[in-house]
Amino acid sequence: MKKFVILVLLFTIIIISSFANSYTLSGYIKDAKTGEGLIGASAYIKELKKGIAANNFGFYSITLPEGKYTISFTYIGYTQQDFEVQVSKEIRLNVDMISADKLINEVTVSSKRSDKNVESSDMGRIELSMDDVKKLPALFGEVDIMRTIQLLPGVMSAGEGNSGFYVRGGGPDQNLVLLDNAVVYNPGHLFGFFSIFNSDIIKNTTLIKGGMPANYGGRSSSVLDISMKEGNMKKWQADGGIGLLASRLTIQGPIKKEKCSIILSGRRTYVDLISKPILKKVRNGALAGNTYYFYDLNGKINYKFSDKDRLFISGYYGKDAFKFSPEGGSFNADLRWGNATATIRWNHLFSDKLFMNTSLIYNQYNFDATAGFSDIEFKLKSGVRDLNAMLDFDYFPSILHAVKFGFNYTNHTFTPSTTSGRAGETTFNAQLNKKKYAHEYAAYLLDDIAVNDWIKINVGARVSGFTLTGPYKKLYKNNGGVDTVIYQRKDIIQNYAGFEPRISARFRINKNISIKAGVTVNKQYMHLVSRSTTTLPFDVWVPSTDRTKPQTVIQYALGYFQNFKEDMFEASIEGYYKDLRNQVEYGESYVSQIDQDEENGFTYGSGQAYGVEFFFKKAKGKFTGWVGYTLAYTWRKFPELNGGNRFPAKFDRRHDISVVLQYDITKKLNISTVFVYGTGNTTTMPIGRYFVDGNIVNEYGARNGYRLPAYHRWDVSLTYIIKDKKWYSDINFSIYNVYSRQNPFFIFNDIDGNTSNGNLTIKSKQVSLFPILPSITWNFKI
Amino acid sequence: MKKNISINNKYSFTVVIVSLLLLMSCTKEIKLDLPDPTDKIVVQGTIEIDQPPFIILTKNQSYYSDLSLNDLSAYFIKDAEVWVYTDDGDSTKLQEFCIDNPAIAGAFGFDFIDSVNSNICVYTIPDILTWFNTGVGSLTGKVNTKYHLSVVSGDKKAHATTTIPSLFPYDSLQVRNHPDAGKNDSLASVYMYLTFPSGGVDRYVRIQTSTNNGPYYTMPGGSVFQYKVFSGSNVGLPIAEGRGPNASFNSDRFGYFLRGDTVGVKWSQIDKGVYDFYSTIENDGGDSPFSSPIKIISNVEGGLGVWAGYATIYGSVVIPK
Repeated sequence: MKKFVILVLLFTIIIISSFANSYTLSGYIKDAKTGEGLIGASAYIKELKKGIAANNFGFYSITLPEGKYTISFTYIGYTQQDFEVQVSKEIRLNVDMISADKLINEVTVSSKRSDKNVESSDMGRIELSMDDVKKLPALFGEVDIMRTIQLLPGVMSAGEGNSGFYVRGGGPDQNLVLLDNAVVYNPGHLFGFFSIFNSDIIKNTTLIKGGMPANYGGRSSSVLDISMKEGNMKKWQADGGIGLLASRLTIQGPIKKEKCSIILSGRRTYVDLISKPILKKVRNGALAGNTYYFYDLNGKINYKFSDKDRLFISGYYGKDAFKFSPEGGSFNADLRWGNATATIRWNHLFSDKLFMNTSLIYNQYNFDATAGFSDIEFKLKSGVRDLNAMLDFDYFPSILHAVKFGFNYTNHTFTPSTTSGRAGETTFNAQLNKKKYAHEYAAYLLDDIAVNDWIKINVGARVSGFTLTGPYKKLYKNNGGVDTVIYQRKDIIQNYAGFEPRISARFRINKNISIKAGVTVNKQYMHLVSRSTTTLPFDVWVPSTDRTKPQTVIQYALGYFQNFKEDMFEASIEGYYKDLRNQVEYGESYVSQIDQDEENGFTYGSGQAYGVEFFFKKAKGKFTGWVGYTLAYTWRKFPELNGGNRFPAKFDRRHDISVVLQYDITKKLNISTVFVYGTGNTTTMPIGRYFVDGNIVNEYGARNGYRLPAYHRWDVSLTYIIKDKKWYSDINFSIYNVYSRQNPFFIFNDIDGNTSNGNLTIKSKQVSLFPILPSITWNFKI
Repeated sequence: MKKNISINNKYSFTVVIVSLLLLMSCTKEIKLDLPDPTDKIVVQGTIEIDQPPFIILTKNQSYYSDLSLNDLSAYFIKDAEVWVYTDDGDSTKLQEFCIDNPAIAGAFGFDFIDSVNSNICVYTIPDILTWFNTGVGSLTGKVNTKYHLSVVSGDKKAHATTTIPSLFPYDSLQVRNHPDAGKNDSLASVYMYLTFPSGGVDRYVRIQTSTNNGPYYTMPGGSVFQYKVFSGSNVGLPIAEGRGPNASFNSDRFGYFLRGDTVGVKWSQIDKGVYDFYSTIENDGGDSPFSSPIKIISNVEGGLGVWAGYATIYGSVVIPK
């Protein structure tokens, strides 16, 4: 805390010193057609050669000495807007940016692209445009933002077709996935094959894989911050798409023009409807009782009280439903799981320099399953629920500073795997698995400081805390036995506090070249301990306790950034080293038991991750795209795993290559292609076997000591645009896995022959999920 | 009325998911370059109340190696020095018997012996024939007794300890009609009813079933359970048909027997070491995106396998036609 107070004082002195004889120019940078705020749009003062970025609501503020300035507003995909402004008083300048989507409007992009890549002090921060994402090949025609981010260096896919991801050697629970500030605990549908994010509702996607600014916390590896569209303030509009697996529809428009807008969006799969008649004819209808579907609903209302006050209410509700009920079979299972989030945000401008956002957030994830046979029924429930209050301030004291500070409180309720059931007339409940309650809080302060033309520093810190409260049963060893302490409601069981300094700096060598370096410390108080490599619906989030300490990750990063040919080409080389402490895994012989706390099966250790990422991008012109290559090493070391020896993490992937290319053949025809290559995943294999009671028992070798064959795939898509003055439509043809590579999804060991005949052999078989898969999707906008 | 049963539901759900993925995927054989395991003694040993110890000693093998008909002699460990002893000073050096009897071989899980006409080699008390005839032998199992096993074979040694816990009898076996008896009048289920004594402690149980006097096999949901005893409570435990090592899963009849079947139940109290061994074996789903391998917990020091003491009650019920 002492360090944090010193930091606050230091900031105050710096900021006060920059006040003399200056005036503030501020306003919102918005899309001219829809009135949506443009997150991260740039305002650049030509005379000073300095710029500032709009915040998450499109608000900007520049405090300048008195004088006449030319200010350029730019945003990727929009035409540049230049204003000459005489600054001699406080000025409010709202800017309506005109979309430069030449494919739609046949307007040529006149703006020079931002040199943000070289100029900003951010490291490992990438923003993705949904318009670009939608042109890429998509599995089953379903555009998925989470699958697109896997094409970026440093981001690894969780597996074939899977939307789960790992960032720079961090586990899947170390990614902070946000939807309108609400944490999404399980962002996958269909066991991770699709993400919950409907592409039509996404306004902005930011991925931060290193150098996480101090306003983000609670996870130790990366941030995927997704903002929903606000709703068109000017006219009613409908967007949608019909694909092979799912269809979606979004309706948005003004309830009161320029004052209040609403957006509603829905998506549903119809695999269940399509497959039903097929399943009835397969195996004499034995599979007819099996169904699966998922759906997503998004909604948002925003109301502009005045130029100073604005209210946003947004929500998401999604569900997966899976039923396994073979015809005539006695075994059946019914699984349902999903996320729900609700966010209320109030923006208030205290002054032209001070912007406040207050958020009240509710989010939950629930898994609910029933399985049974004969007269027996099991029920399994788990989940997590948060109530969150956030207060975030953006303060722009001068053009040299962009200050953020804020406070955050979250009330967590964890429902561990809770089993109940019935066997005949006997019912049972797992009494030991009570809910767990925790409070998480944080205060942060950061400043993006333009020290001079060459040096820019983003420095900040986060003070975080975590308190586990009762009711709770604490077990501890005593004289060879186990004693129990019972805690009542609201009793404090365990307190943790953490200081998380974050600093990154940009040293500009010249107009086109910069070197950046950063160190970040992240604390993580919640853990998802899983036996799987992908995020499964029944994986359980657990809080830090007296036994399970908060994860601490320290990341060091160094990067070289260079742009070429008027920022047409961007290139970067980033190296990182991560020190991961208090990592959690299940023990080697852990077997889940319904009457025991999951924590009893945990074991603790540390990790290391290091690598180099190469990125080359062509950002402008008819031909765009990027090539990314990552060389990475990810290790774990646990005293109780692998004989205490260091072992590669499940997602240790030595080489990872992505090539993404797009070409506008004509204004109506676009072709894009993706090629990916990754070293095979690690796996743990049996090296020996023996028989007990006639059954084969495996004798496993080194943990993750073997590798599956390499993964590679080539996808192609063609988008044809049909449009009129009043409507827009496109047809996207995608081919996933063009050369039908049989990529390893996993391997299993198949027993051939049997002991009865004395001809038993064991063969390892590789399971591949997706061969060549063509798909077609029709998208429209009215 | 409440009870705790240690059944891994997540494992069941994972099995369903993996099965469906296998249905929609394609597979091809691959061969990974795996090292050979270190040679170890594998113990499959049992001692039950009033029965002598029966120990089968085998060798672990390379994972991909074939189980060749010509290689069975190399599979069993012969000429080992095997001792069983108690803390009370009872000690017996076991003798190796190679039996050419398919029924006995099948009872130990070696049903292939029949087809290859080869011997199964079992270590047991030297006066085993006397025990067969009179029920009296130099060393037989007693409740609440700890039994140590010592094996020396060449330069390899293994040691294990197991306890035969006290007996815990069940109340009855009862037959129930299929819930949808109209459509499924050929099927019925069997329940075991139990009354827990008051003031009990944790117990570990292994239950295996046989159909029509065949060998005892593990039920599909697993054979071992951990009970936390609740005073005076009555529990009805469903009994499923056990599956042999080479049997396939029949979802149509899962949880049911055919009318006319004789259902045998082997209800055994076991110690924690035996529970851990079977619990880890039965939950090992291998390495996949949905599960991690489970390292088998063995109570054999210096070797693999299990040395298991059983306090067993055998029962049966005939399902009326």
